[in-house]
Amino acid sequence: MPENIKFLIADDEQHIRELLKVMVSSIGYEVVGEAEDGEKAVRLFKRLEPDVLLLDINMPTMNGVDVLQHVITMCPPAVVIMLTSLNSLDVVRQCLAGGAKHYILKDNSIDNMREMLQEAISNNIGLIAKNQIQ
Amino acid sequence: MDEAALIESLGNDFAQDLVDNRLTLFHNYLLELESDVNHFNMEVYEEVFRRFHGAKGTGGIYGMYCITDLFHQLENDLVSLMAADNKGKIDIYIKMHNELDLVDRMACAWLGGERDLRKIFSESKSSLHTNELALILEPLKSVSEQIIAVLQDNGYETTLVKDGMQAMQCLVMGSFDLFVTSEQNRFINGSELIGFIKIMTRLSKIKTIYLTTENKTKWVVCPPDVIIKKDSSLLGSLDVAIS
Repeated sequence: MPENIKFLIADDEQHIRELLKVMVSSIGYEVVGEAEDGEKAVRLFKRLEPDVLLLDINMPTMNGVDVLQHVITMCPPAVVIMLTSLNSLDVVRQCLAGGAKHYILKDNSIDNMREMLQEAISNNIGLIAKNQIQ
Repeated sequence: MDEAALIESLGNDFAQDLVDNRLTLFHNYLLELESDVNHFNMEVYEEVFRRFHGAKGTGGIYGMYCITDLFHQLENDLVSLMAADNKGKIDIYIKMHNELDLVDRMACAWLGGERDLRKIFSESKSSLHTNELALILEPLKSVSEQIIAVLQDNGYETTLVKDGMQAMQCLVMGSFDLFVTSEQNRFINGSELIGFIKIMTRLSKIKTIYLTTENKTKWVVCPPDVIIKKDSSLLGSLDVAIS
């Protein structure tokens, strides 16, 4: 099992990025980078090679759906977790079909979001370990 | 700083950012859109929509549910703008500026330590001419479409959900005035959701309408406000119940 899991956070809302950093740290993982727009998310993904990308859908310069396509093309087994709200669930289905591994509903309490994040990591821990070895 | 204090501080920082920066920016975006009612600047339109959406999500995460609700309303207003005639557009712009002013009041109240923003929201709702909000959980499309038509004719803004789980999340996150549900739903049934509304202080003012084909006598907590038979009298009874 991986000892450390590196996260890249992509969300245009600074206050959500800050919260996600707190949340990721609180469950013992490391945030190695953050992006406030889609293009930066793709650049940082290439450069930092994170184990997990937390990816918002509505972002400037390139939206989350397009970022996902770039990332999955570069690295098909990448663990991408979409950040979304209830009224974007149709887009999430599209993302899951396009290679995203899980999603987290943002319109939720912080504790629920943390649980969803932990569940998403648990469900993909084998893949994360395998990606780290490769 | 422990985690709870850090999260509280981040929430306050967001509220302060609304008051100091974002709301002015939003007013300016609207003024830019308003400057030519005959032509939509789609670039500005999409940018303001994305920013409303971002503020809506952030507000919800930090527990500012009424602010989230207002940004949801603002998103809907933007959608309405597309279909409105010029006179209608002017009315919608005025409403949106007023809604932004209400966000400002609520953010200031939050910064002043107030955590229950519903009172400010309710007091201002009528002056904003904001529609009453109805949540509908009815799996049969033919029935839900008719219910929505009746509610909209009576001035409600409607949200239709697909299952009990979505309904629960909308109830928790939103500020609905009316909940219309059938019994048989995926994940959580109608009477359980009504029970949930009745025991949650924050939700207890929501009027509940239960649609049924049976004479149900046992309720999870207490009965709904209105029970309507799912037969040919449904729409008429609904019309009476909400008028």
